[in-house]
Amino acid sequence: MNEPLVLDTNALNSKDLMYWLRSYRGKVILPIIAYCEFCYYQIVLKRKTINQIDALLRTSNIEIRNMSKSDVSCVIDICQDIKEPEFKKNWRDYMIGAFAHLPPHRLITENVDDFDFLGNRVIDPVSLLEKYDNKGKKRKRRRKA
Amino acid sequence: MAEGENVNDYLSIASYFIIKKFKDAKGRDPSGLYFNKIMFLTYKKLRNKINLKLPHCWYRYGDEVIKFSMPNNICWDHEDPDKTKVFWRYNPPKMEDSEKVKLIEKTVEQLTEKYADNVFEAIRKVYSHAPFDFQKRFLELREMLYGINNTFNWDATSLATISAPVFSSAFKTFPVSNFPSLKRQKEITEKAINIILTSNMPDFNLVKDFSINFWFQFCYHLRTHNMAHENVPKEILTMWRGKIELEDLKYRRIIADLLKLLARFYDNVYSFDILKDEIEWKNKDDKEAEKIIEDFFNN
Repeated sequence: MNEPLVLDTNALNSKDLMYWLRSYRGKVILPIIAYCEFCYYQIVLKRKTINQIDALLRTSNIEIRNMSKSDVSCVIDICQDIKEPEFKKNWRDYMIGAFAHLPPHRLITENVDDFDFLGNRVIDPVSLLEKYDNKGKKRKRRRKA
Repeated sequence: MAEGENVNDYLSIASYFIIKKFKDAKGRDPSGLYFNKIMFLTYKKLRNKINLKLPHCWYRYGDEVIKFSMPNNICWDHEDPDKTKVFWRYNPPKMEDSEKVKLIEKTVEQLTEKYADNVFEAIRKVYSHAPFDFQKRFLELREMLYGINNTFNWDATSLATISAPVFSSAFKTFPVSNFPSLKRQKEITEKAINIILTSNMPDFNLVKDFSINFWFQFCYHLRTHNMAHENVPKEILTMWRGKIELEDLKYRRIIADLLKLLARFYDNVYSFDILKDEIEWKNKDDKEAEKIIEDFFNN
């Protein structure tokens, strides 16, 4: 089973990622906050419908995950040394990042630097696809040998 | 102890002792796998005298506790039960010097002595309580797929010969009447594995893929079955049940992709209507997906 992936809102803008996720053998989680933000951009600004959004997520095996009490505990753990102005500015990132707090979850985002509190478990969509593509190539080479 | 915590919260006390006794014996925190198994055995052993009200269910690796409903002091540092360490945070639970507390401690001590060095025996003991025979048979399959082959490095044909009857008898025990919606998926998986194992060139990686993915799909259903969980809050059960539709679709896609792969290497796949229909369904699903994704990004 592959590592569970957590998607930031902007990861959903990658068409290649949406195709690739269809055959991904692992959990793909969209935190409820990211879902809400994506719905705002797509419905209010781009005039898409909720049905179109849900069809896209379903097609790519993406699960919308509600926030639980333990996710809130993770946010609090992450924010131990965060000052109030920074929290007010970035609370959304902390809440999304909390879903990937426990290894081996990996967060997929275009803004890798915003999630440095997750260490090396953050990756952008292009690098993720390259990483798995290389793994596949290695496996194929080994089989042939 | 957290403010407002009850004295003699037996679930907290048992959890604390399981972690502490293991750490005393081995000098490290227990794995999640060990913790889950010993928690279950403690719960079962004490049941007639003390009801710990352990929130637990049967899932991929046997019985496991429901993390969300366990005492807040218990922490896990990884998602996977075999990789995570379980540790106790903050002060020990508040407990009186009572007979019940002594009984819990003694029970945990006995189980620690017996299983601290042999988690595999604990797994087997726990599985003897599994509600469905299929679970026990699948454990045997797992042991065979990941144990014998690694230990003896058998060639594929010999492995296929000894494993074919084990697969066949395991699938015969599948509880169709309890999980009627999985009947078709079970038949597809069984048929596919049979094709591989009776061929001249059995591919064991493909056998593993089929069996594990079917098992994972089954477990999403299993944990919601009334016989496979206890003391689970309604909200969690509702959440689990809500996930089944998406997981069924996802695993149907995975297994159908495996069938497409199977059809490339084994000639007789299309001679079975059920497999042929499933591959056709996946081809149609792929076309629909392409339309949905392209429409979404281009309009």
